[in-house]
Amino acid sequence: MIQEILVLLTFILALTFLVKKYFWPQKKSKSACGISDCGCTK
Amino acid sequence: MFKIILNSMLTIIDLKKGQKAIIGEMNSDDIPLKLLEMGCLPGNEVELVQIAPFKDPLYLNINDTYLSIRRETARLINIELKVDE
Amino acid sequence: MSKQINVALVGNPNTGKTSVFNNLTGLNQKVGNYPGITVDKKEGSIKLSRNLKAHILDLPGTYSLNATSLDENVVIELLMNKKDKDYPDVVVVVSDIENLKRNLLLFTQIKDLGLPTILAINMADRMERKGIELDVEGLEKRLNTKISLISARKGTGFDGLKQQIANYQNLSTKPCLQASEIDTEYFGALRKAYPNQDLYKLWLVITQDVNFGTTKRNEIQTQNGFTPKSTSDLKRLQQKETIKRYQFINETLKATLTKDLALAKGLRATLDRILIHKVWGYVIFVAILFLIFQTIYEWSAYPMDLIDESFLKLSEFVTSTLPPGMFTDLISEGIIPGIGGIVIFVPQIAFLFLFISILEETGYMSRVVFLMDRIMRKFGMSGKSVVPLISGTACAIPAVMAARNIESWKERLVTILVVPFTTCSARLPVYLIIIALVIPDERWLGLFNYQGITLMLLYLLGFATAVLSGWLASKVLKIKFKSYFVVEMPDYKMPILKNIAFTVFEKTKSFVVGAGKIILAISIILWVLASYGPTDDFDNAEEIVTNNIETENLTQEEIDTKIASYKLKNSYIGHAGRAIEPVVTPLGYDWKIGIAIISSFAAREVFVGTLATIYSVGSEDEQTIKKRMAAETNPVLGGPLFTFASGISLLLFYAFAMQCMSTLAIVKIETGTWKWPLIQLFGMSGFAYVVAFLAFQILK
Repeated sequence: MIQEILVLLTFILALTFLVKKYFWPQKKSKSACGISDCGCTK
Repeated sequence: MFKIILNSMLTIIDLKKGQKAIIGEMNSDDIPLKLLEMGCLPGNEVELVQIAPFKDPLYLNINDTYLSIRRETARLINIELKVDE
Repeated sequence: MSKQINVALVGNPNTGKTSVFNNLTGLNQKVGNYPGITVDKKEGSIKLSRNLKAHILDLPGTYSLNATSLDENVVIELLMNKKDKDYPDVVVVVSDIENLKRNLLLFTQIKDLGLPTILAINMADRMERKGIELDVEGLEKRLNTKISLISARKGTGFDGLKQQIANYQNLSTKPCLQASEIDTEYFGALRKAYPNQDLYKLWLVITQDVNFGTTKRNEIQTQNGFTPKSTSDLKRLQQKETIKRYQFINETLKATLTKDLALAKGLRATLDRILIHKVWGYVIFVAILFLIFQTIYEWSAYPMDLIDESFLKLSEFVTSTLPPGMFTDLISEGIIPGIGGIVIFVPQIAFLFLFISILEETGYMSRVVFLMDRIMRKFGMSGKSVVPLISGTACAIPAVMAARNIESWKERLVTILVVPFTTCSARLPVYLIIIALVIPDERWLGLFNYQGITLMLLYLLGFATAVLSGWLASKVLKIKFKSYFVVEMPDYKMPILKNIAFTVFEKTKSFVVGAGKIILAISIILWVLASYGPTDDFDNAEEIVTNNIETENLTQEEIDTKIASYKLKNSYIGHAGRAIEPVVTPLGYDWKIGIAIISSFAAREVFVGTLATIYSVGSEDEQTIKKRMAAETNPVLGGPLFTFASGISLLLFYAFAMQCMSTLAIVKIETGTWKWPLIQLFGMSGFAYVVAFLAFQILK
């Protein structure tokens, strides 16, 4: 029984990893605004 | 039809292997800034070190920096031949 | 209390900046990514004194602050952004003694940002040999800085450099060039519009037009009577700025540097004469390539066999020690073979990166770029595409990234599009096992092994397809572009062992960790899908098979195998596989290969692992995959499944199909749109299907 639960957990872990890797929107880098506030319309 | 010679000036492609010259005025926007930053500036010396097997690109020594550029870029850079000492 | 300061290493390419970094930090370094972009971020830390630590960041090499690539853009982004956690307290500009003049351009730009800046002059050990004399004190005064003469090769001068870093607060922040000197009128208007801003920084914000999609700077608005200039005018001003800077540098060096020109040349001329010769140049290049591939396969064979066996033993060990049950099976049949399937690539990848980094360190790679440019341009690419195409034989991911150095967008795009055709190391295990199955292990004319010849042909096929599709792509793609090609031809140097070791280690590690996680996850999922089934047929497999009359005269072992394959057929994966069987039958495959192909779309190397998983689920004895594959029969035609026809069809399919999600992801990042990766996916895979279909139908 314990073994079956462990298999299920590993399976879910692997699946979430793949989904996150390929189907989740990638985090965009915050575009640096260069100098503190000039030329940057936030 | 009139035949107008727009530019009778020599450019880097007119150099022979081993020949040196002085870079002249730069009048083209198409010359990449990177080339200038590597030292390709008016007044500096340029030497044609080698020509690649199919005549392109050119291997130059400009201002002690060795670099290679394509013929079409070299064509944009005016030169003045050095008079033999 | 201990204090930590941020140090940024900046410098031109080919100045040995990375060896300086390695010398400073030793093993205390790590390589990561800048957030959101795939540019290597190398950082490390050192102790400067009892209560002062320094965090050192090795920024990508650049010739100036005017970025022309994503990598170079990182430099200006960081140096302009005071809010960045890595914003430096002090910048060390690494330059090399022979190219000091050019290196100083970047130095003056950074100095003008108002950052405390140290000038580290590398390769100082070559001064005497090259006839160079430098008045260090005089140069320090003129540049308002501190100078360290160092040699990364000999490891000298670093104590002094560390001392100077520790005393960073005493450095002058006086600029070398007042921005207003560039153009009084324009900068006067700019000053009036933005009275409280640093002029030079404003100027950089205005002129940075980075064509890489991620960061488009906002144009400075028309404000307070300030009219923005046209791109062409701005370019003129940039040219003017560069000329001004060089005037300053030339004056400075005239007073402080003397060179004996007679000593400066020598080795370069001699080696160039041979290495870029119109005949010998190509002969040598091809010979080097041949040597590289030859040694990779020769040398990798032994560690690969060892790895293979060790993982088999590990599986057996786990089965015999852990309590029996599903999870134990998952470990021994899913996870361990999965990890083994990754580790087995390590030797080949490491060797390939070893050779590539040697070629780059010695300066030979630039000669190859020079030799190949004219030829590659015929196929829509640049001489610089040679590096990605060679790297592609290890893995398409670093290869796609290596295309960043190509300045013109069209040539870069074509290179990115065709790189996945080169035979990456993930295809290799697929090729090896199928060649072993369908190509006789005999010699042609008693000399050349047929299997070896087949493998070589597959490599050539990869390159040829890449180059030809480059030609096609360049004809089809209607992109206007300016040809732009500037390559530095660095001095020839002996490679520094330590640098190479670091590079090989880092690249290999990132492959194993990056690709490894995906492969591992997929093998777990596959195992589960092959070990459970949706219907009663799966759960009662044992009864159904045992009660079948046919099995009466079989040994227990044979019955077990029958049960296993019955189970597999009725597992989730079996159902899925049989659903797609009609699609793969015309190519000569059965549903198991179909499953392996589908899972290969995550990463090709999964193919062998998948077959290993599918064939080993539930079976007791440890047979090699090859024997199991050889025993398979064709469900439609009868006879062995792996024949010459189906084998060749499979080889061709793998040679052409775009089966790597990681490559698609990186292409999306590098090109900024899904358009190109989708074209690759459907174009390449469609082509692969047609070719494989024709091959099987003709040969069967």
